[in-house]
Amino acid sequence: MINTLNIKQIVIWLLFIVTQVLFAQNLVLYNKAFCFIYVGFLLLLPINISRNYLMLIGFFTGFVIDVFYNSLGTHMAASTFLCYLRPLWLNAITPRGGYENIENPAVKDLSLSWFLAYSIPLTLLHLCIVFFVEAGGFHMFFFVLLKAIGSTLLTVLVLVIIQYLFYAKGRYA
Amino acid sequence: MRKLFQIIYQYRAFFILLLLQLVSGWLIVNHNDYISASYFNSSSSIAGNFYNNKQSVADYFELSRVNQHLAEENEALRNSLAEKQPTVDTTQFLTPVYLAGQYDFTIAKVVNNSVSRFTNYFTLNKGSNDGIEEGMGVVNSFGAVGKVKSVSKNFSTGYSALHGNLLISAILGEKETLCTANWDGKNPSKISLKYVPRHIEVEPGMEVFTSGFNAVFPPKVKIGEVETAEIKENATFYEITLTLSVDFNSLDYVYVVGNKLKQEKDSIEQSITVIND
Repeated sequence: MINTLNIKQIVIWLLFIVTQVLFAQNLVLYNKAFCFIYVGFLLLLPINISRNYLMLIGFFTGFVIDVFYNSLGTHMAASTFLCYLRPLWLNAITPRGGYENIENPAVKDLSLSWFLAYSIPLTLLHLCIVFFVEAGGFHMFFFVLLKAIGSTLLTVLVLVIIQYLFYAKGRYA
Repeated sequence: MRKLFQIIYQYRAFFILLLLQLVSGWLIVNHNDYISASYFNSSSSIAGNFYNNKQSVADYFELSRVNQHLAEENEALRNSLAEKQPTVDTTQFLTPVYLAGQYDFTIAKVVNNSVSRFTNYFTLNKGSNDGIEEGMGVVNSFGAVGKVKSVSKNFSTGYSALHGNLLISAILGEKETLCTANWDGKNPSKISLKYVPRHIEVEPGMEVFTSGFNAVFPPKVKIGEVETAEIKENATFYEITLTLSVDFNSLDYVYVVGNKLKQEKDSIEQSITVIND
């Protein structure tokens, strides 16, 4: 279990959580767009990871975020569901060459357009769950949807920037 | 039987998902709306310390604003003191308990705060060691801020007034019409006022205070001023929007209000409801 790959993932996980709680939590544009970059950790996990592990990782990550956000259960449910759908969505949008020799579903290994097609629907679904649960129902449907769309765009934008900064080719490979 | 296990094994991912979703759903329903000493929120020692350290760095950037607030509050307190110079020697009267020190105030620092979610909370750096209890009101020099939700030894988490489920008992204007303030989830500088009946005249600029009826806030803590008031043809109540007097974007120091007579009040009110039944 414990090898260099796992340790690397744990360090990345810590970095994502700390960044989320310290900085991204305060990054709110026009009271509409929120930044949930911890979703990026779940999106960028290696492709060949087992689906059950993935769900447990998502569950735990959501739990830690919930403790800091005072919203116990909300991010847990959303992250678990995201992790359940991730392998299905990866299968559905397999690029022409397949996933051979590709470790992470990231911009550096695949293309930017592929990454957008991969991350935007999953993030949108995740944030829709978070915001609708938080709003406690569908009574502000379009307002909540606007929030979810704005937050998705901001989150994916920040994720792409992070990948160009830190996941650059050859740095961790 | 063997086949059943085979099916479960085959679709194990789905069953794990179902299990985890049930756990999260149970937590959402049971742990968010009740006042409880929960370990899994920002008043827990790990999250509280984390936010406390974050805030101790951020403090340096807010010093001038905090100083300004404190100086203004001092000025207001000095002015009210000067106005209320006692003309009679009050020491010779026996002051009733409910007038002398019914409320006690504990100062606390806001170490984490959110304004733009549907359910906003703040975290304070004082807990049960400093005498803070669940359900206490939180105010600052501008007005009502919120209510304590859960308490650990050194930290506490509270509902901000910007929380859809927090209802604040309020009085409107000089006639002191009883009504309820509740946030609608959209603008963090506005709050809506409900249950103001038709026969009351409402004008923009009227002031709204807490009523002090529910033992959370002391009476006459400011909530805000009426910005718009509308009433539809067949409606019983006005639709009123208030401008909040507290700027929730820049909360720094707050007072947690303890009410020494809370238990007495609650128990006597409970006995009345029993008779009504």
